[in-house]
This record gives sequence, C-alpha cells and structure tokens, in this order.
Amino acid sequence: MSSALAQLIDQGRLWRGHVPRTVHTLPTGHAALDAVLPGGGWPRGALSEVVHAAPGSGELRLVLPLLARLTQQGRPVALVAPPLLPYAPGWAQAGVDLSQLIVIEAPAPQALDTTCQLLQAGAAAVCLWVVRLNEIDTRRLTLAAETAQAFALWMRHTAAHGAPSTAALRLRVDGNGAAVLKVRGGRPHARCLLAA
Amino acid sequence: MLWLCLSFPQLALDAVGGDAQRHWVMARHGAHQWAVSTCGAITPGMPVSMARLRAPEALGLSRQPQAEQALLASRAAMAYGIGSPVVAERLEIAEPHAVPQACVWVEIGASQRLFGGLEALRDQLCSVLIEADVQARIGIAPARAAAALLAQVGDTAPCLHSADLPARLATLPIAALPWPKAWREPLQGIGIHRVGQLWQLPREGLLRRLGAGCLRALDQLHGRAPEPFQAITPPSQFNVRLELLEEIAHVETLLFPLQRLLGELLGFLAAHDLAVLRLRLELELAWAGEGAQPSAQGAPLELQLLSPARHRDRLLPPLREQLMQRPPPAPVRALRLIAVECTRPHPDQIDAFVASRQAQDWTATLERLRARLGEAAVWTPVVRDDHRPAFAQDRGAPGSRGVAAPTTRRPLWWNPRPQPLAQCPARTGIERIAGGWWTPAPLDADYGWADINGRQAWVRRDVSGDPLGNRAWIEGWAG
Repeated sequence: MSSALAQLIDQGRLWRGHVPRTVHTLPTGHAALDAVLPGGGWPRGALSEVVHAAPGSGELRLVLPLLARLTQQGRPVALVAPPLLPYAPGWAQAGVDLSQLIVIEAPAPQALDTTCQLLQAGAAAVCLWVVRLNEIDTRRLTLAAETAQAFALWMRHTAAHGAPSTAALRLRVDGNGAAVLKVRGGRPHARCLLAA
Repeated sequence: MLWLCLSFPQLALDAVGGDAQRHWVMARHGAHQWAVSTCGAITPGMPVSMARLRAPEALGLSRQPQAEQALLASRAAMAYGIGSPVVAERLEIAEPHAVPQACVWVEIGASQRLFGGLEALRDQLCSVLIEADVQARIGIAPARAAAALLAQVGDTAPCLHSADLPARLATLPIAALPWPKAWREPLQGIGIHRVGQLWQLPREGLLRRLGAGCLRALDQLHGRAPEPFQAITPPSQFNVRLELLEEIAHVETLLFPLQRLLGELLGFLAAHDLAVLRLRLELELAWAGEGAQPSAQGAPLELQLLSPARHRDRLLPPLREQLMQRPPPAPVRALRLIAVECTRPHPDQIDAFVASRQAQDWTATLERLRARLGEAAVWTPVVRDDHRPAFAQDRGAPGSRGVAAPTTRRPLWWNPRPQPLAQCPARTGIERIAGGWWTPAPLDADYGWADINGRQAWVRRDVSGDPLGNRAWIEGWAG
C-alpha cells in the first residue's frame, strides 16, 4: 500500500468496510449506544447532532453523562441559547459539577459566533440550540471543534432535520431510545433503548 | 546611594495630548517664544519663527504646566515598583530659549539584591514603561545631577562609584546641564565646553567669577556636596481625567486616548501591586445628548470583571465592546477613568503553563461575552436551600457554587412560565410540598410526573383550596 493511501486511511478520510477506524471518543454513558457506535462514544473534536421533537424528549438525558464526566474533570462546559431554563437541582442530581457550567442566553444571530468563541477559549463541550445552520456555519463549527479538540453538540428540531450537514454523528432521540441516523466510519442503526 | 534617573524628553507634548508627528509645544518668556518638543525638523530651543518655517503644517500648542506636573506625578508612581524614595522634578530656568527637563529619580541602591542585579532591575523597569507606552531615557549614577546629565545625553552605562564620576562626566558638554546663561556664557567665552575642563579650573577663581551657586552645583554634580530632595508619595486612588485635543465623535478614534489612560492605570497598579476588579469610564460630551441624560455627561461605562486583572488585554476588549454597543450620543471632549475597586492580585497558577493560560482565556472570553450580550445573559445555575422547587434554583455569577441537591427526582428543564392544563393528568411519584408561609409566595401543592405526548412532565397541582377546580401546571420536563 502506498504511503499516500496509508495516510488517507489514518486520517479517516477513507472508509474501508470491516476495518475499525481509530476515533478519539468519550463514552456516552449508555452501554447500548456505545456498542453500536464506532469508537464507542461521542467523537472528540467534531460536531454531533442530536435531533429531537421538543425540549424534554430525552435529549438532555442523552448528553448528560458526557457533560457530567467533563465537569467533574474540571473542564468548563457551556450551553448556548437553551429554549428553557436548565434546572439546577436536576442537573446536580445527574452528577454535573455546576460551578463549571455556564449558560449563555445569546440571540439567534449571535449564537454561532458565541459558540465558536467559547470553543476557542477552551470549553470542553458546548451545546447549541439554534433552529437552522447553513453549510458554511456547520463547517465553521466543525473547524472550531477540531482545533480545540472539544465536543460541539447541536440540538436540532425534527422539523428542520431534512437538510444535509457535515456532522460526524447524528442521533435521533425520543422518549427513552435513540437511533443513529448517520455516523462517520460506521453504519446507521435502528433505535436502541437507553438506560433509564 | 545609587540613583536611577528617568528623563522624559516629550513630557510637554504628552501632557497636552498631542501627536509627535503633527503637534509641537511652545513656551514663552516675555517677548520670546520657542519650541520645547521635537517634531520632525523642529528641535527644542528653536525660536518659533524658525520652527514655523521648518514645519509649516505642524500645529504649535502652548505649554500646560499643571498637566505636566500631574503627568510627571503619575509616572513617578510607576517608578515606585523598583525602589524608594522617588523624586520628581522639572528643572526649569526662567530664561528665553531654555528647554525644561522633566526627570524622575528613584534610589535603587537597596533594591539590586532583590531584583538580582542591575540588568534585571533595568529590564523590569523597561517592561513596565513599555506596557504603559511611555518613552524615557535612563541614566544611573551615585549623584542625582550626574544621573540626570547621563540620561539627558543618552549614556546608558551605569556609573556605580562616585570615584568614577569625574572620569565619566569629563567628556560631556556643559550645554546639556540645566544651568542659567549667567554661568554658561562666561565659560563659553573662555573656551570651557566640557565638564572635565570645568572640573580642572581653580575653585577660588570660579567662586569669585561665577558665584557660590555655580560651585555648589558643580560639587553636587560630582557627588561632593549633598543634594536635598523631597520624596514624592504616590496617590492612593486612581482617578485621572484626560482632556482631548479635539472633540472625537468616532468610537474607533476614542480608543487611542483610552489606551493611554489604561497605560497610566497599569503603571499605578504595578506601583501598588494591585489588580483592578471594577472600573468606571466617564465621558464628558460636547453637548447634552437626547433622552434620559439632560446634563453634558454621557452615561458612565461600568466594567465589572470576573477576577482581578492587571493586563491590558483583559481590560481593553470589554471596554471596547461596551463602547461599540452604546456609542456616546455626542462628540466626546474629555475622558475620566476611575478604578473603583482594587484587590490583591491572584497569583498565577504554577502547576501547568497551559492550564493557567487557558483559564485566563476562558475568563477573558466570558467577560467579553458579558460586555457584548449584557451582564444578565451569562450565568451559572446554582442550587439554593429552599423547599419550594421554584426557588430552589437561581442564576449565579459564573463559577459560583450552591448547596447540595435534594435526593428526590427533579426535572432537567424548568418552564419560566408554567403551562396551565385544563385537567390534572394521572401522575406517578407524587410529592406534597408546602412551605414558605412567611414569604409573599407561599406554596401548598403536590408535584408528580405525568406522561404528556411521550415526554415526561413534572406537573404541579395546587391544593390550597383553588375555587376553579382541578387545575394543574407543567413546571418542568425531564429532559
């Protein structure tokens, strides 16, 4: 195999079937989901999308183990433009260290810029709630996440989910199950139940 | 005693607030007017008519002695960081074509050991001066007058012992000394141009022809006679007003004088070893703006920092954001910067260089976002000690801690405006919570989890005798 081909495979730009790729991840905290994701968790340094119907459909329970693990390591985590208020006792019960959590109520036109600045400044993970992002915006977000080697999570609504995007991972969550719609380096998977 | 002298050649220009390329400062004595600062082809001591010929497009401004005194005092405060006592003087002679020298002397004999040598001390002083954007010449000698002469001439090599002084000063010109013409002209007449030649003349002859004052000045220059001085004490508060040369309406142009004020603030913080926590910037406008401010004062800009800061790149970006968001309604005539609250600075973390720099970046970014989006838009959720669920959570300053959370299951999303339901749905895990009868919002309700369209909602039903029947509200969602 020539060196250029080996380099492409190492960087993950080429997918060979049946060969596992090295992906830097952090476990999601849900065993059933980890089993079907390549690398076994959220991809580090990339954009992930969580598609849900309405606030409270399980999207927070999906990402909370990741946020709890990061805040307990002392890394800052930010929530940008959440639709409702994060309830402090509930988040504390889930194991999140609240002193490392920042909520930023940015208006929709400034939300993306705020997220990129937070990623550049050293946030370990940023959850963004915004209705629509065009292709340039998703590339900016991906680039910011790659440079910082952090987790960028875009919480999307089902209604606006038809548009294609360059995210490394797209999950749809409803109730107590999650389905993998698209993942880089793996196959889509049907709904699997999350731990209660 | 070893004195370090800082000579400020452009002090008159900086006090007036001018630009070295476009403005020059002139002094007057009787009918004579001459330039005292450098601007292109104009040199200090040049008569005004020749100056106007040499540089016709530059603008001549008159001296402002009080402003010079205030600026010299603030720069003297900067020198307190490396030694004490500090003496600040303006050496002026009331004669035509005399160029005033503004000098700050600081005694460093005792501080060399602390800083680890003269070089380290000089580097520290230079870094403070560069940070504050101040130009100065440095001279080091055992006598104050000798240090001033070395600084004026530009000789930076230090002279450490008074025995070396005659040799060091031998070749320096007498014209560089701040001596009156009554002493210099007779010496020029007999061909004495250098200090060394003057030192070799017989003393009784000098005493008879030029007077005891000249002899004492010569002895003070060589360290043989005492030089009395009055030490300057640094001000304890920072409250500085800068009057602008012309009215500035454009916000970007306002940043240049603001940077100068910040430089003075940084010098003050370095001298007192403090870090600033709250700043106030007041703008004096040319005329009263419309709206709520009937006086000619714009609304002051308050800057509250998340952690104490003493570096320019922590202070300038939030101020710039605030100015861009709320530009002044009228052209600005003067700026006043006040350090409202100062504390001891936090020591930088020594465990990992990367970790401490990232922490500074994070705090600086949060401050910038607070300045741009408003102070209420950036917060941390904290848990409060209250039975009533609506009051068990609060918005705290970024990074603040609360108490431990209750053990019973709580929702993850909270509705700021509870959604009313026509009928109370079937719920599980019902909790009866009552309390707060001493507050304006007493609570007597039961909470339970209900399944609404596939989502788990935390529903409250009021049991305090609601006459409208079986009403319920959705307070939160289990995300």
